Amino acid sequence: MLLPFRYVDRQFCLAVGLLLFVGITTLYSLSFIAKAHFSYSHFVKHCIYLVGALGVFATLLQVPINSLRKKMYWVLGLALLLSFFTLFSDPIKGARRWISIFGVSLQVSEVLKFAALLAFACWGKLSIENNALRKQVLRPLIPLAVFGGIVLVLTIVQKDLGTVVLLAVTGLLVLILAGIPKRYVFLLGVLAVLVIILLVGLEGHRQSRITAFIDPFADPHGAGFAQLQSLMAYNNGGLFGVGWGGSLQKESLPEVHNDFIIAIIAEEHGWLGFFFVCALYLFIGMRMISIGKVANKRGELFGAFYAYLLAGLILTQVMINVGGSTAALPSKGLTLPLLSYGGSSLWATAAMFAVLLRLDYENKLHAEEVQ
Amino acid sequence: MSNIYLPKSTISESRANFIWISLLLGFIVLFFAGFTRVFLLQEDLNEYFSRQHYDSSEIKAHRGSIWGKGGAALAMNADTYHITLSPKQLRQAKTSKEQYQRYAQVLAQALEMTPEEVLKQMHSERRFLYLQKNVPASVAEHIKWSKITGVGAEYISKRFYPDGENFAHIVGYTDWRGIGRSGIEFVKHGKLDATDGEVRHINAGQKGAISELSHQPAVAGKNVYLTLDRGLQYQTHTALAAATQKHKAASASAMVMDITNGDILALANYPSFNPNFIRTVEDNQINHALADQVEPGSTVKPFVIALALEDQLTEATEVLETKKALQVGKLRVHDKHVRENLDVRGVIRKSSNVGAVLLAQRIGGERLESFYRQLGFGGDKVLQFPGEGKGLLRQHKGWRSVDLATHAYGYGFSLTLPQLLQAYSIFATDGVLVTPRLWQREAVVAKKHVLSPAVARSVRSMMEEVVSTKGTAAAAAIPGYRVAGKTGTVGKWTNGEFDLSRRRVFFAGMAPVSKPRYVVVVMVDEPTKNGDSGGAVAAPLFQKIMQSALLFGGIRPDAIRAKKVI
Repeated sequence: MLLPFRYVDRQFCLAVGLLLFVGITTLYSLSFIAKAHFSYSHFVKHCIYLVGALGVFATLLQVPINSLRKKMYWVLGLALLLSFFTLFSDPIKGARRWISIFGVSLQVSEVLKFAALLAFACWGKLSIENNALRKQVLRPLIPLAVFGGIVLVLTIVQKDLGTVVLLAVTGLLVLILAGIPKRYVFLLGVLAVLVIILLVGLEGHRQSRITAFIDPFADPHGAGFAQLQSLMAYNNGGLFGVGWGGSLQKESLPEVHNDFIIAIIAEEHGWLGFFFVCALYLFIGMRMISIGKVANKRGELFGAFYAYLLAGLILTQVMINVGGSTAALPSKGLTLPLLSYGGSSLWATAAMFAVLLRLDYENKLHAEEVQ
Repeated sequence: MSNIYLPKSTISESRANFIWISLLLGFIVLFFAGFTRVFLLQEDLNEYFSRQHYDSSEIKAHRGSIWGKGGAALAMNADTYHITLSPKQLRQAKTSKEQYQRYAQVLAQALEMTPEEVLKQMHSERRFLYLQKNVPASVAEHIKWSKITGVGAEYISKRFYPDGENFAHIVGYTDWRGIGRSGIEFVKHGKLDATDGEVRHINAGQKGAISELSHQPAVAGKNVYLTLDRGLQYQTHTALAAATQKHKAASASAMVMDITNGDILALANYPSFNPNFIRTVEDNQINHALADQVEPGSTVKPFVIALALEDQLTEATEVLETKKALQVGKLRVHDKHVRENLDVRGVIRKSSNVGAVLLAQRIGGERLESFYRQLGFGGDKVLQFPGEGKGLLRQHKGWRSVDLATHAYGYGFSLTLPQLLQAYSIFATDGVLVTPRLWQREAVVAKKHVLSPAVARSVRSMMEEVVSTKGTAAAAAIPGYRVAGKTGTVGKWTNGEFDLSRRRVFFAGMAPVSKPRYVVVVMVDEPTKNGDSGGAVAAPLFQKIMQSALLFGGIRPDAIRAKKVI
């Protein structure tokens, strides 16, 4: 049964559509670079992934929220299993983040993100219903801590600190939303910072990224290279940009189709284009929060947690990515949802948004029934 | 789910709002942090950006050419190429032994080397080397099309002197940067020098230039046109070389002037050097013809006699007491080769010092000095050339009686070869001083009358007798032409006395006497073999050069005409 058109959140879809459009046009512009690592064939591939993502979206839209919540453990199990497999994959650029299934390489952290979102929402629902955190703080945290530990170990091996930070932030959000006493929020914040510092200290390349973040000119050809090149893109773009396809920095920026795609948007469309993209993300986040609030009001706690956490996850990921490209944060290997090249990221985002829109649909059905 | 503790079953609204506001704030802070960062680093980023993406290429402009009379190129730029080789690139391309052999064969054939030599260079440890320099475009093109790994051709605009050492002293040369270092190349560097153009463009990595930012066109250097005649210069140079070798002289110089307009047709020295290989040559770079300031000796006697005739202090037929030695102060003037009393014509013919001194004493120091200055002795540079001498003529007030005597036969003052040439023009033009010039298209200097035509003709006819069996320079005679001239032989001032064993000999003359066209002066420094006087050394040299000048100029012989034309 396909959703009737009138139930679809049109504004949300318009915003997502605009972001996808910006992403496709920018990737098209990138397909002109002289370097071989991104070419026209990659652009075509991305378009095919997009069609696939629509398929994933349409399929998951049919799954009721309740049945998804009950199948949550399957999704989580599958994600952890896949993560485990990455330990035996061939490293790409020194990191084992991809596994190959039938010749298609899959970035497992994207699957893990979706699974973690479901798991956190499920945990949040249970703790609110049991009022667990009011009775005792530590015991309800055990499943979270176990999950966190597994993710931590996997990501250390995968050298994927970005995902760790992202999941840590989402975990923090679920704790706050589940009603943890305020003093623990501070404690957890300190703990998170300590873990990040520990992880940074563990790996040399993270250290150099921190120093590059502090002064991009300190090592312009080494650690500071990417962020410096990114800043040059922003600078070249100015307020109005050099125009679509006019970017010069796409020649010199590394990972230009992933981590630094926003810098190219800023170069081609200026600070105005950059601001427009940021505003679209904020708008999407705002819609998510409001869908969550409706669900919250009608007592659909899983859905409410899911919507809130999704907003947190997406916006945090955007912040880490964009902050890395403007050198306002140390650079992390995180994609920009909806814009960056890559099938895994697109499909994971499609799945997350499908669940959200399904929730919205159920909210609207509920409202009709009440009337 | 049937728990008794169910006071609150929804998520706290305020906590949800808190999270939303935190995310919003995070966005805003990041946006401004990024903006500020870019804004603060603006200048550095701009600089990095232009260094990374903007590039410039040079457009080579040719230096101007130096042309001689009749469109002969004396100095020009030629397109050549340096063949470059990168042994490292060859190694990196994993070139097989067979390929090395094949490459070496191709290169050796094109560059006229042996394959072994090329192979040795190819296996060199160096990253980069020049296989051969200054290769013509055809060879470079052939090598380029052979597409050999690590071999390239670098464009060079090389200065080329087609006549080599013939024009070396006067044309000069440039250094490797193309800056004129001597001769015309130095004097006219500002005019000859070209300004390379530049194109600034956006560079897109391996795809090369994609867009032009600015274009500054190249400006070629301007040409310089000289009065020198290529053929005559060659003949002059050859004659000087033969004479220098024959007489085992230190050096020899000569100048040829066309008196109708003052054009210097030839100006040469021997020994010379080849400006095409200037890095290997350091000797023989002095332009003796212009730089040497010399005592002219007997070559000034015609001026003394002309002045005496002009002032009517003597007549051509007056017999002077030249047999006897003349005592002037501490100086005893004596002509060993004169055993009779000569008339004024004879003084020139036999080159009598006594006769010249007797006439000079009648003229007086003041008049003699002013006449010499009118002729340009001890005055300015004639050709305005760097390194050219000015000569030295002292004020007559400081002269003693000895000085007046020596000035009459060419000692005690000095002049340069161009000054002598200029002065001799008065006899050829019936009393008009012609200033020599080296540049075509240069205004002819206003002519100056310094002698009455009758006196000039009379002295010319006296000098014609020099070039006869009765005179000192029979060897200067040219069959079919009437030639007039005067020898000169001076001892060099060495260790406080005139050393007649170290001589400098001159001959200055003109032809054809009936209507002179060319004036030629020659100077030979320290002839040691096969004669050492002006008549024996300088006169035959003059004869060769003048004969060539008359031949190239298409001047008709005047011997057929009546003997007494003048």
